[in-house]
Amino acid sequence: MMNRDHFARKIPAYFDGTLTERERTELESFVGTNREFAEYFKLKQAEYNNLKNSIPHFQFSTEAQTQMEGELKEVIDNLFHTESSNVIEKFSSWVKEKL
Amino acid sequence: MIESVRKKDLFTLIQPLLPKCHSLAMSLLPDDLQAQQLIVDSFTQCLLKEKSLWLDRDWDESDKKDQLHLRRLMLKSWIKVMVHLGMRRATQLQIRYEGVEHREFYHLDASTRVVAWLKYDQGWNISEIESTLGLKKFEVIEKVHNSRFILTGGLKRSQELQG
Repeated sequence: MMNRDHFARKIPAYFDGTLTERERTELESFVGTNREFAEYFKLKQAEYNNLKNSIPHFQFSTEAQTQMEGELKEVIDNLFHTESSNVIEKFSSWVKEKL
Repeated sequence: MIESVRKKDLFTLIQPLLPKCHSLAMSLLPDDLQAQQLIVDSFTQCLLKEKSLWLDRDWDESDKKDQLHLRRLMLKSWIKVMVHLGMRRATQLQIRYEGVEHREFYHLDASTRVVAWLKYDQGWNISEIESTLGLKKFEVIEKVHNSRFILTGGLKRSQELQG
């Protein structure tokens, strides 16, 4: 017989999305039929939703973003430039070989 | 001409990813300059690692239609390299996390921080995290559980202090 503690232990995994379909359904039906447990479940849900607040949110200023974009454009330019140079080098050495 | 189109297409593809990458970089290294350097270095490595996919590609109309898929693919490759480099740098730089905000978050080890960020901030599921970071399923689940335990503990403590 599965009791309250059994389902209480499953709650974190339920919110993490790591329960099997069957375990999920069992937990949901226990929540649906047990009012006191449903209250506890809601509490845990709020706790889980709050987790997002404990992850830092960093402001990416327009200035920093513009600077970063400039640097990444430069990376792309340089890599394409290197690529083109390599093609020319390969072609020249092929021509030399043939001559 | 073709080259400039390719450059432009590649940049258009990555531009919307920048705020996300900045957030991840700051999660790994809570220092603006280090984080910015990490973004640039990981982007360079990511392009070089999959040269045929990003640099030798002839961008055509179908790529434009499929931009969301390509952008997701780029984000995953970029994250993978950034995490690899960032974890190494976090160890080498021996950054002190005492003074920084979100102490509980920075007390998690770097790879657990990344998993927590992907799971709780970005809403990724376990299998996406597993495939992107190259971790085993049980490792991801363990990190998710550990981070939840520590972060909810931190939340409770800060609520108690406020109350």
